[in-house]
Amino acid sequence: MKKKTYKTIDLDVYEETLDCGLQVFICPMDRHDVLAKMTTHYGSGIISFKPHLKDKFTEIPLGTAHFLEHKMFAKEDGSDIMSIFQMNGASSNAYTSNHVTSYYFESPNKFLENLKALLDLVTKPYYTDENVEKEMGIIDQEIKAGFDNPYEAIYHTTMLNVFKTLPYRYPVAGYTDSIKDITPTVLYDCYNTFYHPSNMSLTITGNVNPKETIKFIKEYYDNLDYSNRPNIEIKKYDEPDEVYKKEETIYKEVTNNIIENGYKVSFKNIDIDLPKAFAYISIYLNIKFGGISKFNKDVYEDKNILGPISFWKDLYDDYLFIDFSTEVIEVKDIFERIYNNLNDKEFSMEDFDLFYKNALKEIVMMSDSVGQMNSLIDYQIRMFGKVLYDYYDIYKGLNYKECVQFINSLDFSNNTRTIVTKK
Amino acid sequence: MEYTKKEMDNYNLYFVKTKKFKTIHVSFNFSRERTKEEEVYRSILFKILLNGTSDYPNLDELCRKRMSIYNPSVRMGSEVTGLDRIIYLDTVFVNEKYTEKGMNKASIEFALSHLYNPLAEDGSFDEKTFEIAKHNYIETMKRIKDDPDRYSKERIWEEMDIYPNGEFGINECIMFAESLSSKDLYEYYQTLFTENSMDIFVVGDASEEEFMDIIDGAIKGDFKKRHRDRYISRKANELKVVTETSDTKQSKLAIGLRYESLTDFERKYVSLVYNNILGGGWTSKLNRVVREKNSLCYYVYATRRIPFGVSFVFAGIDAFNYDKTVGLIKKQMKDMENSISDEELQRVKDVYYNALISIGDSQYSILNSVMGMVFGDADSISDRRKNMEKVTIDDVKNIAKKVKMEAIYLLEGGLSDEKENL
Repeated sequence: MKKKTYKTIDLDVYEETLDCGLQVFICPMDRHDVLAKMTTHYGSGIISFKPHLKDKFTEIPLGTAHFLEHKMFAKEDGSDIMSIFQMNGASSNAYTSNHVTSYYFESPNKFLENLKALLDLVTKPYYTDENVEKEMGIIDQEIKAGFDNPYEAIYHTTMLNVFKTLPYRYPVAGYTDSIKDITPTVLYDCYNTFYHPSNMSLTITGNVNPKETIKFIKEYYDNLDYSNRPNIEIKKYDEPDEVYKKEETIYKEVTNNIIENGYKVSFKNIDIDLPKAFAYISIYLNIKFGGISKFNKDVYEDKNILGPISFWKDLYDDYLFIDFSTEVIEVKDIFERIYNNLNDKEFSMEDFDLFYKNALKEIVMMSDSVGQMNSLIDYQIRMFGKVLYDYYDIYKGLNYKECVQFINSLDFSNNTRTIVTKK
Repeated sequence: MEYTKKEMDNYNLYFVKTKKFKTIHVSFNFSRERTKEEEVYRSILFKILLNGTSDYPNLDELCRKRMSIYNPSVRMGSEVTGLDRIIYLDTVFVNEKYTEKGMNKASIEFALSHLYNPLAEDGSFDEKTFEIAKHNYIETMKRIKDDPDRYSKERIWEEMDIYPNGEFGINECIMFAESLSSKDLYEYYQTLFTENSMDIFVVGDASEEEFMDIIDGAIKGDFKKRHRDRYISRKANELKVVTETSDTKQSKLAIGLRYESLTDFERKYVSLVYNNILGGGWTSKLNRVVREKNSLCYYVYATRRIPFGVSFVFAGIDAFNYDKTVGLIKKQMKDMENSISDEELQRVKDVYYNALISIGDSQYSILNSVMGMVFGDADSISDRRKNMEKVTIDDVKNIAKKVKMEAIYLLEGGLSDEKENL
């Protein structure tokens, strides 16, 4: 095990990659709870790939990764992993995103019993025609609830219109029609390819003994045969820089208009490290749209706009996606205002400097929580392929001029506009 | 969780000293008997107080100031604990040991500036600020129906007729807000400091002496120390069924249950066990039967609001499965009177014990736990465990006989043949 230390917050993380390829990160904290999260780097964004031990590429139904997440809880011996967690008094859950599928539990006791249950959960698949069929009704209800909610429906449409070929454009849970084509064979193809430990990471934070824990995990995997590592081949897409569709209106029984504005920004040729680029983008968006911005003040004072403009960002292959959304009485020039503000790349060094203090606050606050530390490590592995132990140093190393230069190098013109309005 | 209480002149100050956190959580709590108008007053008031002060009248200036002192979080909210309403102002900030000296005081004073230096003059709030806040509130209320989950929860709450002193429905809230003037709201704001009691909680690695000085120097008001009326309890009304239609594909089912004539022990412990065996988590009766066995829904769960003597069951279903789902829920409630296993009981207890152990892991949980003892009649953590150990299967079966289904609300979707526009 390699011992690393998160600077500034004095938390150690023990890293180890097992012979089977599983990456393990253990961060002991002075708490009662321990949170263990197993993540496979397989989410809804993969729909075409070469299954392990098969020669040809296959196209799987939309929603398969999410369906697989549900079905991982079914076991051949009839055991119910969720019940085991609950009988141990642990809280547990799972989720699927565009990029990953994660399973986790949190509890102040019976750690090794719960950890065994978590490892059993991801290493013992059992899919039958009957149990797949049974899940259809449950997932169909989950899908319907998503489309009924106008705030989710507008997001689904925006994603469909941002990307032309990348499968991130589709809803994570798929559609009522698409999940009907999911079979045990499809699930096993995905499982055998993407649930190999070499494609997974395990992050444990809280009241944990690293030495005892790593020994337990190694012994568990030593009893399983993972010698045949899949060579994961995923279909490449020729995604254009332009958004697929520039605007769309959808109709629902809503009181006001809901708007969403998705920007697609090419990150193909950025010439600085990704963590730094992400830090600069965060600062820039907060200066232009966050609490300190004139834009935010103007929005608050504008009675036509019924709430702050929410914004977030994520990386989808070579593209940064920035999403803005709010509700308005009349659509008017809201999209133009967002566009103009995003593209007015002027900002002061004084505002930029405020974010050093904010970064310190954020990292310190995260270090107080077992859950937030776990999410931070898990996120950094997903985003950057490693844990950023010098996270705060990265912030301290940022400089205004480089930020200005970087922001000016980005093209914030490609965007799609979606409106939900009354029928 | 151990805490110390300092009785100040006209307010109480509570400290939970712990070195486990690098942040400090301070919570200022106004409480008094709830009125139905207060829901509207407080919602508009929070928006005014949090979005500008006389020193920093604009949102951007206020936010810049906050960032310059390491961005402490400041939020306001309210809780109804039976007959009482608590309005709180909470701030969480990084202990100055990790930033720079003077930041503890600066953070507390910054938070309190929202309370004491509002943007107001001559007995009313700044008119423009007031109009924006009022407009935002009204528009927020108008669009509750856009979110079927939230709307169905609001509606079952209304149909259960929870409060003895009445409640505004969504439309009444809007009408009342429309009639409000800035002067009316300012008068209400002033009553915060004259008609409420004040309890302040500090959780973290904070010196009692230092924080007492900071807080006592900043707190002003003619606060009352008062007896609290805590719980609402009444007989169940006759079952009523209410249906509304919606353009959604899925239907939202909400069922209100009322607990009748509970003892203190039943209220604090047995009702929790009842609720969670019935509908708490994966292995609950409802989840196993309605979701897992019959595949009728993605979610079905029960949630308990014990200061009001009620639980609610929520599920998202297809409308054509309404009779079957309600029938299964009724059957599971009947089963609670006769058929509860040792395993079911122990599962709920184990989750509860773990929750008690985990309280010390977060300042928020610590705060909630201590507030439960101060504002309610929650027992100490060790007594909570001992009392939960005493709960038997017979206790749960007995309480099951005291639970009555009082209202069923269905937001009926799936009626339109129109295809989803996607």
